[in-house]
Amino acid sequence: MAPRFLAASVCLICAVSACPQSADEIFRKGTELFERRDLAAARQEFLRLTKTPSYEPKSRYYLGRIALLESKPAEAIAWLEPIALNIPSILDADAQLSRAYLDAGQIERAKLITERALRQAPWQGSLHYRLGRIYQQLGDSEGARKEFAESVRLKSADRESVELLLQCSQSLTSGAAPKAMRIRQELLDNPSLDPDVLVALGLTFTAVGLQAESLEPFRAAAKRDPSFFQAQYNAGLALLKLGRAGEATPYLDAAQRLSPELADANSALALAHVLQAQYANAIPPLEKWRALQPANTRALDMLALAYLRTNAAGRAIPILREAVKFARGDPKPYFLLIEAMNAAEEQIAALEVAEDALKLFPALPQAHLAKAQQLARLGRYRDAGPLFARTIELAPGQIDGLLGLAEVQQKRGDYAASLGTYERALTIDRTNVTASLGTARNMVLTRDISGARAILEAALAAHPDNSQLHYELARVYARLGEKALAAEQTRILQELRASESKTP
Amino acid sequence: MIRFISFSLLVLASFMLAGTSRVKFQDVTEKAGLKALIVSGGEKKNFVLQVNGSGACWFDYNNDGYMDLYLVNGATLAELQGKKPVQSHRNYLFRNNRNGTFTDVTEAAHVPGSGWGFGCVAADYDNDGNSDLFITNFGTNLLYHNNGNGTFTDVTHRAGLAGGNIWHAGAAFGDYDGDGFVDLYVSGYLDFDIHNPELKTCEYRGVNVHACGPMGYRGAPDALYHNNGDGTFTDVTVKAGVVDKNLYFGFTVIFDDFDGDGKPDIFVANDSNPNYLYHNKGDGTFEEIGVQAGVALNADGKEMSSMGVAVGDYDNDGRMDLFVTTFANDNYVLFHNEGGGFFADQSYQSGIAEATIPHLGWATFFLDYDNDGHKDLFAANGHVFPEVDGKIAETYRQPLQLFRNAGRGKFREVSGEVGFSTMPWRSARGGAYCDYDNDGDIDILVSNIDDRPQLLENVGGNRQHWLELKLIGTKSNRDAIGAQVEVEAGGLVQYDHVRAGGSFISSNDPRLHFGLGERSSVDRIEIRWPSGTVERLPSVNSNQIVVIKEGFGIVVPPGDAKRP
Repeated sequence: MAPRFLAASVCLICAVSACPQSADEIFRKGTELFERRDLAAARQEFLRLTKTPSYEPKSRYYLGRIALLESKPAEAIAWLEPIALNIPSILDADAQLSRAYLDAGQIERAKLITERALRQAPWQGSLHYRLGRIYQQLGDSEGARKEFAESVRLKSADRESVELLLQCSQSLTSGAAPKAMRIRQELLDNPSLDPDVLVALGLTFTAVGLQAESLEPFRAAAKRDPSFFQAQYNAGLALLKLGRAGEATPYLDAAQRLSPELADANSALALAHVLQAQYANAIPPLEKWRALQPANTRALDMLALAYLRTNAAGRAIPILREAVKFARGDPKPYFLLIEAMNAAEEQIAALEVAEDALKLFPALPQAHLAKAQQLARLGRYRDAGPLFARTIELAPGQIDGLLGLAEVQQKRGDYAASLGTYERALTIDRTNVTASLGTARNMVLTRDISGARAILEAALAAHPDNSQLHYELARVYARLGEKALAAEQTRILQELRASESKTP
Repeated sequence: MIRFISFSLLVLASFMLAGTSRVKFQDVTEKAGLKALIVSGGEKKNFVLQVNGSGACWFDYNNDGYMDLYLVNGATLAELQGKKPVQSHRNYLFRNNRNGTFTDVTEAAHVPGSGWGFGCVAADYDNDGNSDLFITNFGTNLLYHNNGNGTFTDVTHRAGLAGGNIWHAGAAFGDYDGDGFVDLYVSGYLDFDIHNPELKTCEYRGVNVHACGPMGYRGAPDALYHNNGDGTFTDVTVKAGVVDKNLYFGFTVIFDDFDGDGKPDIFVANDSNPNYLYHNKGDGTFEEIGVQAGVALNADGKEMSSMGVAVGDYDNDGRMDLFVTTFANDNYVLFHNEGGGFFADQSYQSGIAEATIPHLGWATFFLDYDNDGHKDLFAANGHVFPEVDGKIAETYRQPLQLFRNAGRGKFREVSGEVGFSTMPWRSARGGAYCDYDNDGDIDILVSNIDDRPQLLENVGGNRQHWLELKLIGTKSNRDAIGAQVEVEAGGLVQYDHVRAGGSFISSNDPRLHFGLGERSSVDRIEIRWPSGTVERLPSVNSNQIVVIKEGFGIVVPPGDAKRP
């Protein structure tokens, strides 16, 4: 056998069986590729060693680091978790895992593993810095201060910026906002500043409620490292808190893609969509959130709402039944369930839910209102009357209560009382359509046709496309002998109804 | 004093109870010999064609003074598609034997109908003294001319009333131009392809059902036919301005003078669409004013699934009110006539709305069942989807409902008191009232879908006084359709008009019935004939059927009507 052929055969056999001698070579090659940041090639090498017992832990370590560099914290966690608990530890696997947890937003886990890593390597300034950030996010400002101080002491490379960060935080807590703003600008102006520091800077402002001031550091961090979950997430969150859901969405979308298994990432993205009434877009992150936190009533409420608003009441109902079970002290799921049941034409079942809600929340005006409205939907106006009245007693400014009571009064023929109640509602909302219609109808029934005309014409000025107003006005004009005007209103009504029926 | 008050209260209480607990309706279908089976496609409902059922008409075809009964029958898809003979599901003419029983004379009278029938209405269209019969069909309608010898002749094509190959539903006769001949309005329901019916599945309150519609279908047009006075009719739909331009799903039709101008207007109950009210302009044309008049939509400005129509003056103010039966989970709607052609939805104020919400209504009419002088209200109910049974709170078979007029515009449901609640529930459709035994109280016929009809005899209604009027026109159309009658007895004034059509694609006893309570005579009868002639009659005794001929006053009735 020629020597060349022999060598090739050995190579082939080693490649297949990963023999110890060639495993060394593969590992060495993998580390070289890793150092050169040829991550894809490095990954191929390390993957070849995951079934070789002597190299499996180290290969996992590098595969974890590759995943981190590729902004795949969930994958990094999967590689690193099994080896982080090894004793002796594999390289700085604990420290890498702590970063993975942090990137994935698993703050509690990040805290535990970072504390453990620090017990093994207390000289690691970067770990102190990371723990400081974790404490900061957990609201432990004293712990954060200590860890930052320790990192300053140990991590000479970041000493200056961390020191500025500390000064900024102290200035904010001592009321020296201008100084804090100067430091903030100084840090923002540093083009080589670590995104970690920028996020920490943003969080410093967030901690004292200065969302607008926190935004720029988060945005800068996200720009410098788009794969940095904390930067994307916090930038999105700050925008959400500032009521800029549209701008928040791309950040939160990026954060959710970086950490799809993180409940907060899904909930924040869903909220951004819901705030923009993009209910269909909100459903995937909400479903994910629900899968991650099945007992979270906020997730259930919001998901049900999204289904409700996308005409899928049938899907909302079981979700809300679950929410009701988990949140006995929260009336919101009850009210949403009533709405969903009505949308699914389950009015009698909705009445039962309204009755349950009233039993549980007897002091809540909304609970009285919900039952009253449900009875009214079933045509039981006589039963609804006292509940509408009680709603108004508990909340005199509750316009829906007034509108309900006024309708009850009208339907029992007490037009004078109804007129008075509708007028009360109009004092709360001068252009309320229901109140305007009700007032006009009472006027027609009591033969004050001119009064009805005035009310309806005023209401139409504010709501020109409301078909019911046109319907009533057509009738009123006809009674006044204004045939042409009546015909015109009828024509508009028919046009509006035709366009309504074409709307899907 | 205390004793006097107690006595007064007792009298008052007994008055209030009078006519309620003492009147019962008794199912006498079997005893009366009404052996008929109404078919509408079979019990499984796969298509909208199969769910509407059919109507019933009371008319005196043999002029013996007793009302006879015509029942329209449906068919099956196989029959209509020509896969099976239609013979097995013919219509029925039951001759009144004047002893509480009926005889099926359909074959002898040659009125079996054809195809899939829906509505019917009777009137003497040629003023020859015999009531003729018009039947709406899926496809060609039928006009049966009464030969006056117990037989009829199909004159549809000669008369020009075939109506084209569409789904016709309701029909009503009325003399809109006052020429002394009754004209005919026919409603069209929807465009259903009998040869390629599409099996649909839709969801009704979470239940999958198949007889989806009418939404999703194209409507079928209505038509107005002018009676030429020579046995023929002309389609004047366009000329008269009653084009169903929206192609709404038309059901029950009725002519009546709703604005008190002496000219018959036309009301069309449209399913799931706004209703039409055509105002008669007096020049042979109409103007659609449903919206302005306030009857197109309900009080909330929403269209109803209007099925049946009752017309009557429930508050004795001289103006004809309207009542419309609708779909389940929607209240039936009582439109009070406010005068001047304007209506106000008084469904809730009257106490009727709430009790009707669970039901799906069809046949309906005002009737004074207890002869107290105040018109009460009847509604026959039944769902369109058999699939709802056992799945939701609604049921396919539903109870009949009767609302007693409590005065001051209020009604109270007395269905239980009159025996309806102990009757087996059916899925009712058509229906009409009639004093079939001429005993002075109003009886009820209900046509149930895929089932036997029910004849409900009023037992005890005639404990109070009454008067019935049969009007014969001379200058006016012979059936006096459109005649307006005012009856005064002991300070109580009542009003009614002669109509042909209404309820749910049915037709009631054409005679006018007035309950008089304790009043043993009528002080005054005033008739405004369709010709414009006003005739005033002196006092007459109660508890009789009076025949009044235009220009001749009270005449001896044809035949030998019972005079209790």
